[in-house]
Amino acid sequence: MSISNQSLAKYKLVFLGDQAVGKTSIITRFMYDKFDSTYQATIGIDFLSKTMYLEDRTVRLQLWDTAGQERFRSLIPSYIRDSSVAVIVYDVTNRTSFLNVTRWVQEVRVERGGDVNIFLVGNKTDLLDKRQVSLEESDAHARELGVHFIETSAKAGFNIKALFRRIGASLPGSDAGRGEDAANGANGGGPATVQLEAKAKPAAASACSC
Amino acid sequence: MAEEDEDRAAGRRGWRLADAAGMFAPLVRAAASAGEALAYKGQELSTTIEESANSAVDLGVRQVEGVLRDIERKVSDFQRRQRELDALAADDQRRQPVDIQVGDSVFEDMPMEMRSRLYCVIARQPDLVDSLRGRLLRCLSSSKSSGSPRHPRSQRGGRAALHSSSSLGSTGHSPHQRQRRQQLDLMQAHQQRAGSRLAVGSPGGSDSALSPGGTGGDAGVAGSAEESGEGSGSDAGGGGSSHLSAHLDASRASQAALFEAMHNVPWSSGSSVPDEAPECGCSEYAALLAAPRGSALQRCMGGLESVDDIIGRDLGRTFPEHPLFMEGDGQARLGRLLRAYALRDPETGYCQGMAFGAGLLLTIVPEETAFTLYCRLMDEPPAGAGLRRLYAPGLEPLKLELATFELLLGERLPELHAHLASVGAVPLLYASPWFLTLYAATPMPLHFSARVLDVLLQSGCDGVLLRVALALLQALQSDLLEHSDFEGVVTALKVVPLSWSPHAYRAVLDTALSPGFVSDVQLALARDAVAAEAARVVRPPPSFTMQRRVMRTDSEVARFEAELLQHRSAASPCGGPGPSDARSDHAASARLESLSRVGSAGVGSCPLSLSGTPSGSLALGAAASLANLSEIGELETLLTELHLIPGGGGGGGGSQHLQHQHPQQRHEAADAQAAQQQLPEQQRQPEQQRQQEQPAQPQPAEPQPAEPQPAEPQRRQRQSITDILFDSFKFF
Repeated sequence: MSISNQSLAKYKLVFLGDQAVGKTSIITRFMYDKFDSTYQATIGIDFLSKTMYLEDRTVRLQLWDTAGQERFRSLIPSYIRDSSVAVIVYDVTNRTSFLNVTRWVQEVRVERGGDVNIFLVGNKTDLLDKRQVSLEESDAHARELGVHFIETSAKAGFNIKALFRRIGASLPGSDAGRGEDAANGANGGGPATVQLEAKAKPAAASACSC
Repeated sequence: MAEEDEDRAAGRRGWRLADAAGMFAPLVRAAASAGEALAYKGQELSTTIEESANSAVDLGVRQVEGVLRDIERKVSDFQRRQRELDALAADDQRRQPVDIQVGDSVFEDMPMEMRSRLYCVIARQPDLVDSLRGRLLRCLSSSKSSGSPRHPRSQRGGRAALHSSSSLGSTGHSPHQRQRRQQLDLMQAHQQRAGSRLAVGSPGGSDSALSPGGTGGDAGVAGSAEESGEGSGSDAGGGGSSHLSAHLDASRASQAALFEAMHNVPWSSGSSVPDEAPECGCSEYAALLAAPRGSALQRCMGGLESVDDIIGRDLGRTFPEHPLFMEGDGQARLGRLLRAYALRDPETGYCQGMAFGAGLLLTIVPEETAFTLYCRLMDEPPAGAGLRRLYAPGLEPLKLELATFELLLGERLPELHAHLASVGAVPLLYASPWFLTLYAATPMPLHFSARVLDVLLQSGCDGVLLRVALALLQALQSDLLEHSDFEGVVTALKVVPLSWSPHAYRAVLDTALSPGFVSDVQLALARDAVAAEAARVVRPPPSFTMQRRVMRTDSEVARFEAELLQHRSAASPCGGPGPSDARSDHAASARLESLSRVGSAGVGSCPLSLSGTPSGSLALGAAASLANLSEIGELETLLTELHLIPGGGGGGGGSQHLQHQHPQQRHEAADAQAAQQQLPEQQRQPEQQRQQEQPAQPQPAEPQPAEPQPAEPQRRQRQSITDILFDSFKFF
């Protein structure tokens, strides 16, 4: 498996955002399509990877999950450095986490300039009665910041696949990605036929990695 | 014949035709009436079908609803059962025999109760465990050259004791009785093993039996049984046999006293932890709990949120599968403990990861005892194990510790170190959770972490974290070398330990705690080398520049300044277990140095040029650094360097906000300390100013000079060392 993975194009996704906004649960939903009511807090940095089948190619996504507490921010720049995508998550029921989004975006821009696709993700939309940040406000803010935007619920499994479809479509080297970048992606969806599957790619013919 | 046949056939046809014609009329009539009937019936039928379909749909809806409800019920039943099973499993796990480190001895397969009792004694009668500290430190500090490697002494007498305890348990004895019985068994076994004729010591006689600097081990370590001060690491040659036996007697007496105290720990039946000490309620903990909330201390970490909120958010995410923390009570206890600690130590406040160490203690001892022990873990040596530095704002000491780990890894397992480095698996990724959670939030089981805790509490020596990390990698070495890519290596680091047996975990800890695995001297040399290197790296790679996030008020500035002054005047040695005074001094200065420098320890890659060097040159380098970097000289150098560097505005700026950095100064900013406040990208400047809510006075962005240039005179700012150190705190 590792041999076949080595032959795939790898893309680094870094998940940022305040403490307990749902970074780990979004990743868990994407990786295993499941949700636990309780997650252990991420200490430092965690790493997971998954193969994703796009319509025209197969890529390997490397997901970097980070600790949300402010104190850990000094550890994060090194992980942002060579990432293709930054997923900045906030909690729609926690206004502070939304206000901090600007700082996270700046942090990423400082490290990566324009070489990174930033996705703003409002998580926990299933908690209808606790919502503190409206869809319209977030959408406007995302346009202002020039980043992609989507709302999700990792708990309900809402929009998680859509998020990763759009991430896949935005990856460098993808025609759709360039198109989406140009459209600034606030509402643009990725190609509809993207497959998201966890199965490993059969061993590639060119297995030599030397 | 053929004609006859033909006629006959014709006749038959004729008859048939006539017959058919005769029958046709009634058939038509019948068909017509049938058609009428059918039409009528059809109407009736369609009505019926419609009705029955409607009712079927209703029925279907009801049935589906019923099925859904059923499914829902079954799912919730299943979840409930699953939770119960999980709780049972966790309970089972809690009841599983565990290894307990007492001094340099390991009591294998003991019930968890023994640990609870031991910890209560450590918290309430610390004098009884002083001897353990000496023994443990000596065990850890000895190096290969000073004696033959020796694994920690294992006490397997506990196994029999455990069996007797479990059989007693089934007959309904209280935990206290069981424990008492078990302790007695244990003591007997232990004394038989040691060949002791000493009677079980009484608590009254224990104090006099304790020798001041700790007591010797068994005859197996006769050569090093001589007392030469705690943790000195040097073993005097053996004494006379009478002297030795006196030591052994003292050792046994102190151990007996310890066990006596352990089984005297009050424990109500039905409780999962011992009772709180009777004198609690008027203690420091109670006072801290009673402190009003919402005070300035609540904002001690800066940022937008209070410590209370930050702690609160982690309570449900600390050991979420442990029965104690599944319901509110355990979480409330954890919250109180962490808040009390944050109030007690506002500089550290709360850092993610701390909840795991505190939570682990709460699974073993009652709340206030857990707080006492937690302070013992966090406090600076010699009072505690000094773990608080790992959580310091900016996490710089953590990065230094990780760099130290990498240095030792390169020395001890060069092949693995090179392999990990080549695939990009840096210690920051895998070892920082180990250190920050004391191995509790990892694939390793809780009892593994608990034995690390045993050593931390008894020895007050935080080097055990590094030792265990090295032993873990040593155990994982063959698995890790099999993978040639980053993903494989990182996954193996997480997954392989899951398949280990309890024996494998025991072996890892036995290795980590065996004398000579990593000697105290090696550890101290590595730490010094890392600190010196961090101090020497005047211009770290630009990649280490980090953006500052400053959210603070004038009062916070003032407070931090005051704290720093205090810190400086105290100059407390906090660089680790260093028993040598000279080294502690150096460690103190190194820590000041490290505090003043941000971003110089390896993040993505280890910047230490020493990291790959063999131990010989490491020792040389460290010795050179010790010789060169006398405390004063080092500070002077630092001052000289920093005078050239425009300050971050922490010292004198009226606005108390970061002063804007001129682009030309960015190269100076590469100097480790100042790097924090620098903006690696030109466009970052206005952004950062906005972000810091500072009235924007954007400097014109200038092209970054190719060569470092001296700072502009008007930007030069004299800084006291306090200001410089303060800068590193200002990060938060």
